[in-house]
Amino acid sequence: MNIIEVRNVTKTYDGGEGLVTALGGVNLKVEEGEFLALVGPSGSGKSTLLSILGAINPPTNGEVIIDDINIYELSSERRADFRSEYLGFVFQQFQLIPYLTAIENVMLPLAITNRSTTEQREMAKAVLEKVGLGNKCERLPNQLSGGEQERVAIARAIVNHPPILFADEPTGALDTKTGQEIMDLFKTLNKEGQTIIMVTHNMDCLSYTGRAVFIRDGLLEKTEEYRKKVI
Amino acid sequence: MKLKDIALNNLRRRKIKMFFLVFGMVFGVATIVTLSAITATMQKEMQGNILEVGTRLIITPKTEERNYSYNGIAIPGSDVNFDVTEFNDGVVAKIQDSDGINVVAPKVLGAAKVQSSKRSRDVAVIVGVDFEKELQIKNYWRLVGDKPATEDQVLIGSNIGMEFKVEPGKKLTINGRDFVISGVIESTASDEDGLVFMNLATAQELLKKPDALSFLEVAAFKNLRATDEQVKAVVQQVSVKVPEARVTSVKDKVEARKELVDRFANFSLVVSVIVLIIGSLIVMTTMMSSVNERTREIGIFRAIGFRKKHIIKIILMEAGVVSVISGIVGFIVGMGVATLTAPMVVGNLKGSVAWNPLLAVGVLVLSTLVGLLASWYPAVKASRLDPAEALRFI
Repeated sequence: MNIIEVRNVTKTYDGGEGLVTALGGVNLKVEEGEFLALVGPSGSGKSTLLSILGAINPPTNGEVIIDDINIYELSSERRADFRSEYLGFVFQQFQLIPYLTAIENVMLPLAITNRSTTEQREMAKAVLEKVGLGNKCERLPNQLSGGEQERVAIARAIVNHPPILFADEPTGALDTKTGQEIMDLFKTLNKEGQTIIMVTHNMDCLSYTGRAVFIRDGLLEKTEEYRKKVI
Repeated sequence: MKLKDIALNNLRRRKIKMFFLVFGMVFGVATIVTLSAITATMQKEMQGNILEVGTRLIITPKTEERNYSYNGIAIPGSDVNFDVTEFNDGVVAKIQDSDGINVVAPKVLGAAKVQSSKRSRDVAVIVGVDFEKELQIKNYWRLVGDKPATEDQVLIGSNIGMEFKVEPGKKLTINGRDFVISGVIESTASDEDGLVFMNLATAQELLKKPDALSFLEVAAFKNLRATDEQVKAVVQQVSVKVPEARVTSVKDKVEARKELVDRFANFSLVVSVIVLIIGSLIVMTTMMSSVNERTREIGIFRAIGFRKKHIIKIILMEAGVVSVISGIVGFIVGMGVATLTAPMVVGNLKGSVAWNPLLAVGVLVLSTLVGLLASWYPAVKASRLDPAEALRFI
């Protein structure tokens, strides 16, 4: 069953010297439980596509349907609710809040729910243990290594059990060994049924995914399948 | 975790910036509190003076007086008094019979040599009074000790008590005659603090002014809040009955000072409004700069599902906490400064600066409102940040 369907999505923006086309008519379907990689060189439009799929960047034309919801027909505030309920984000450079501890960063998506602080803390603690940071809950981001910060970012993205997880260059700021550990973590999550869409230009990561979609100059170039989806 | 935790954590992270913001706001709030407290103290003192004085009249013998000056500069020693006169006892009855007169307190004034066991002064002013009437008029006097019961007892002003190191029950020798101090008048922050009050007849005898009265103090109307018209009518009536007297309403002098106090109040108001405007601009600039610094952070909040109202709440909570702290500290600092500076500004301050809980509440509400209103625009601007742009997806 397709959880995401992208129909003729284009994105143009004013680049100062006229209109720039970031995406020129993209069609894509993503099945529930799939681990999909969006691959391409810098400026190919892969991060723009990720942000459009992530309900934070309206396309110029086209539709994005997630779980039968046309997300850009929702108001901006309803789309925020949708992101809170459906999507988890692992941003480039981790993007942790520097003045919050690891566990507080993970609790962040729960701060706008009706859950009590105790419940939030229990949920965050459980997820941090899952990513192997149960003993570093009270550390600030600057007291953690790059790999540990990435794990906190992943924990924050999955703490409220979103159906879809987006990751933008998750290994971009990590050394090879740590990058592999993080990819192992994504693979484990995917095996548990998590749908993951990851942007990368690191070819070594592709073996962890089920399918890779190659993008060049705003257009889907080709698709490669590596393994069947887990569920 | 709640939104308030995010706001408080951010304030903790930006300690120095927030310290300067709080400092600026405390300065503004304290300025407003100081001016308000001093103005209120001046007005209270003024009101107190008006009530104490009530509709008091001072009746003095008319004395033809000339002094010479050149280009506004008084020539020393040029004061010349013609026909220096004093009243006699008969005038009291004449005035007492007038309509509206409540109490007539006659006085004789003179200089005398005063000695105690520890100090001596060749010239001190003594005042002979009818104590029963005097105490009716001076109902604001607070005595340490008792009022004089015999001719050999005196009341002294607080400065005399300190200068001669005497207290009730001690002896004071005036022009060679021994008196017992029955009581000391607590400071009235006026000339009275430096006077010695004794029985009228005894003073007349001591000063060798038999039956003479230097001036009369009159309380017109029992109701101390008589209208200006009523007072003017009494002044006119007495002037006609006793043509040799000059009648002055003490209230007139007090009211002239009241006008100065009112001007100070207006000045304080203008300064407070200017401080408020400057304070608002400081808050707005600081919050705008804070929002600009946190573009990516706000982008993350929005991307993970925070609504606009959540962002506005976080920013306003930060502003609210800063404003409340500034309001409380500003009030305390302002009252402290007012307490220290009031004696200099008010002069002859009788009471102390009152800690008015209404002013505290008002200042707290005002500083919070200013903080929130000035932060509203930065908060709305933050909430409208495009998460895609903030996270550089575009």
